[in-house]
Parts: sequence; structure tokens; C-alpha cells
Amino acid sequence: MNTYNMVKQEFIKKWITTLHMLDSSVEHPLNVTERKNAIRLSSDIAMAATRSGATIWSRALISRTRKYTTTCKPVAHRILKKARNRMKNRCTTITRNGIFGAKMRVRKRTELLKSLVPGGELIYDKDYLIRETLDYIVYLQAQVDVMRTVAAIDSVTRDLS
Amino acid sequence: MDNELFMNTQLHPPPEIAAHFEQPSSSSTMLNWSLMDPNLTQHSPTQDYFSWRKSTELQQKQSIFDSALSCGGGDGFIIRELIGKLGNSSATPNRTTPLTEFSGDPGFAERAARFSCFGSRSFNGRTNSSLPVNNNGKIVNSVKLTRVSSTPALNGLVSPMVPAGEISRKRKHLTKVKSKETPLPTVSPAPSFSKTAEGKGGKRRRQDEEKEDNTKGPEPPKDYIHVRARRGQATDSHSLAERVRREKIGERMKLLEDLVPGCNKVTGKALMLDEIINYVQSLQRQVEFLSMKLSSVNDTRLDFNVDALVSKDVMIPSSSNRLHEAGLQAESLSHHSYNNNSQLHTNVSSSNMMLPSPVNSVETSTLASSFTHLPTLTQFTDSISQYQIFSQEDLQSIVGMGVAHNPNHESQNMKIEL
Repeated sequence: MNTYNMVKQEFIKKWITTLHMLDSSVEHPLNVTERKNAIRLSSDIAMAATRSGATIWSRALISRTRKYTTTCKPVAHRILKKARNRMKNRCTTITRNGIFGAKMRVRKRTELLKSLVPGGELIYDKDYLIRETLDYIVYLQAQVDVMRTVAAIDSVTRDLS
Repeated sequence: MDNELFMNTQLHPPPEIAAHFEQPSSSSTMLNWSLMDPNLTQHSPTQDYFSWRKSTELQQKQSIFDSALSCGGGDGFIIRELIGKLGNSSATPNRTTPLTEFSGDPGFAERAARFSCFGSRSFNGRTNSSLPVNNNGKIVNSVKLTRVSSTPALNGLVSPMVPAGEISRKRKHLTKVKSKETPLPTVSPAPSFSKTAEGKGGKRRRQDEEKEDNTKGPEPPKDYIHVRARRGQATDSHSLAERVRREKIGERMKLLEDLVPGCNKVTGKALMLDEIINYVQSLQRQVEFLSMKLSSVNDTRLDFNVDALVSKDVMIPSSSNRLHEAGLQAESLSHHSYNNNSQLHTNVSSSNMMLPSPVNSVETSTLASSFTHLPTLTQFTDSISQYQIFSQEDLQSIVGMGVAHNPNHESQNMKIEL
């Protein structure tokens, strides 16, 4: 329980930072869609930063979001550099399965999972893919929890006003 | 940082929480506590699964306090305390949103936390999770032929994130090593070895010198996986490696079972993957929906100084029990009577540490609103004074104590570290 709370604390801190960064770089006013995108972007970057780029999905998230903003680039670079020192970003070997019947179904689903998990297309090893998915799920849960809490607080305070 | 991030988790028993929550149901003035009580009894994974199913169809309108409850651990209690202090009138959430409830029970979050060590990179002395060991034990017995000769590999189920490059190196080495036949070493104490089938005559024993990909980082692997060919199966190196790989995948699936709610009924890799895909998709959709919801935040009343908030010196109580207890006491305070000063003052020391956390949460909402409004950053004391608008006198005393205990917060600018 402590670990999960610490993850969420980290995530909150980083989210605040990224929100600030985005806020300073984007011109006002924004419409709702742009705001949503900005919030989504900042929370994704924060989630990846919480993971410190130690996993493939976090690095893929960062590189995915780099397209959309230039201000988060220094942050992204820093995270990627740190990650590169720890790990090499190479893919695993290609393994072949006999493809027939049940294996075909598994294979199809694996590809679908790859498309969901950021950076999953780069992973050929099913074992590693599932490990990445596990990690990603935990952090997604943390992200959802935090966002839900913030939304709940906000609606409560709005009710009171 | 990752080392600290994934430490031993203490299991906080869910029934205790449920028992505590039975108390507030008596008072009905402020909040829809009664609405939450039946939901609190959902602690079993199967019920989580069903509630997840229902909520994915968006048929269920949950109270926001329920969702506030459902966030794991201390934060949920902090939020609740905050909400409890805030509501003076009988303001029930009229605008309940169809928030989906996923990690509805703290036990589930606990399991998630346990498997969060799945992603840690070094595993020194981290033998907290007994569950994977049990899994491994089961698997070893069932498989009957794989034997891990040294204990570090037993913890390898919840393994650190090994570099992908290293995996490729190891796998290549595996195929290279397998080409040469080496006789099994004479010293090989293996209780499970006795379970292995005899096989036909002429069965060869192979030593699978596979470098396990779940050793710590760049350290040279010390353990071997001895794979014995089963009776009537191919014994060439490639199929053995394949089989080991498949078993590892099976182990991972079992881990995933615990993480994704409601997977224990599902057997087979395809269906498991289905569940996982559904879960990931729904989580991602939730994030989308929540960010859309947050983008409509229009709250500028609470503006805080970020520097004062995000500080390294914010102490998180190490024992979750104390936090829960403090949160529960604070919450029962909000319900029964507002004159229970005695309860309050006993928890002051822990309460002032809880204070920065709810402030953090409100902070993000104000930042979200700042996209349309100019952000006005005020001092920490101003924000504290704004709390007094909503709070009872008791909270004011907490705040006073908190400020008194941490006089540095409003004066200094703490560093934000990323």
C-alpha cells in the first residue's frame, strides 16, 4: 500500500510540474479539446517520468508525446538520456511460433496488445511484452486514481460554491 | 529512486476499513455515506470484476465520494477527510458522474502495489512478495522437470526490468551454448529431480545453461535452469528452449491474473490476453475521459504556490496504519460531532503531515483551470486561510498546528525535482 501511495505521490508532483511547463508555453485561450489534449499530454509525460524511463513503454510514451510539444523536449531528453545510460534500447530476438488454430488467436491478440501498450510494437518477445504490460497497467491505475481524485475534489468544491 | 519506490508493502487488511466505515452510516446529514457502504464490502476479486464489467458499460452511477474512497490507501483517506471538512450543508453530489470504479478496494491496490515491484530494477533483499514465490513453487511442482539450482532465481518471477539488449544477448548465448553437450554436473541437489520421469532408455540429460533474464541487471548470472526432457518429447535444444520460454510466459500470465480483476476464472492464453486488452483499453479510455473532465475545471478560488507545496521535505507517514487511523478518526470526527476536539488533538502530529497531500491534489485542479485563467500564485499562508472558509474550527486548529510545526513552508521556496 505504501508503495502504491508513493507512486501516486510521485505522479502528482510530476504532473504539477508538467502542467506548469505546458501552461507557460501554450497561448491562451484554449478551447476544450486543446485543454483536454494538454492535460492528457501532461499526465502522460508525468506518468512516464515517474517511471523514469526505465521501461520501454515509458520511453515510447515520451517519444510519442514529443511530437506535440516542444517545451517538454528538454525534460524528455533528460529522461531518455538517463534511460540510455541504464539500458540499451534494443529489441529482443524474433521468435517463431507455429501458426495454426489457437496459436493464431493468441498471435492476433498479442498484436492487438502491442498496439495498445506504447512501444509494444518494438517488442518481439512475448514474455517481455507481458512484463511491460504488467508494469504499464500498474502505472495506468495510479494515473487513473490520481485523476479521479482530483476530479472528485473539484466537483465537490464546485458543489459547495 | 526506484529503489525507494518499491519497498516492502504492508498489507492493510480491508475488513478493518470496512468495519470503520460502518460507523459513519448513522449520520445522514452531510454525505451519501450510505451509498458507499454496500460498495465497501466489495473486496473480493470476483466482485471487483463484476463491478468493473458493469462500470465499463456505464450503467452505474457512482457517487463521487465512492470514487474518492476507491483511490488507494492514505490518499483516499486524506481526500475523504478534506471532503468531510468541506461539506457543512447537506450538499449531496447532485452531479454524479458515471465514474467507473476499478480499483475499488484497497486490497486490489495492494496487490497492484505488490506487483509494482515487478518493474523495479534491482532486487536486493527484496523478498516481500510471497505470492510469486508460491506461484513459482506451484509451477516447479507441476512442471516437474525444471529446476532452479539457486534461490535467486526463485525471486525471479517478479523480476526487474532487464534491458532488452541483454535479453537478446542472453538468448543468443543460449542457442549457442545449447549446441554443445555438456554432461550434468554430479553435484546437483534437487528435490524435484526425483519427480522427473525416467524417460525411455537412451534419454539424454541436458544442461540448459540458459542465462535467465531475471537476474539483477548486468551482473553475471549465477544460476542455471536444468531442463530435463520429458518422456516422449523432443530433446533437441531448440524445443527445450521453447518450452522454457513458454513456461515463463505462463508464469507471467499468472501474475497478470492477480493484477487484472476477474482473470482467475479465465483459462487459456487467448482469453487472458483478451481480458488484459480490455483492461488496458478501459484504463486508457478512463484517462481520456478524466482528462476531458478535468479540462472543464473552472476553479480559481484556490491558488497555491507550487514551490511551497511540492517540497522534498513533505513527510509521508511511513506507517500506513497510522495514516489510516488518523484519516478514519478525522472522518468520524466530521460525522459524529464537531466538538470532538480530543480526537483531533491526538492526531495533530500526523495530520499536519497529511496536509500537504490534499493540497497537492487541489493544486492540480487549479493548474488545470489555469489554462483559461491567468495563474495567480499566492503564498502558502493565503491558501491555508482559504481552507478556513470551508473547514470547521477543528480543521483550523489542525492547520494552525500544521503551520506552526512547519514554519518554513511559507517562507522558503522548495525545489521541484523531476
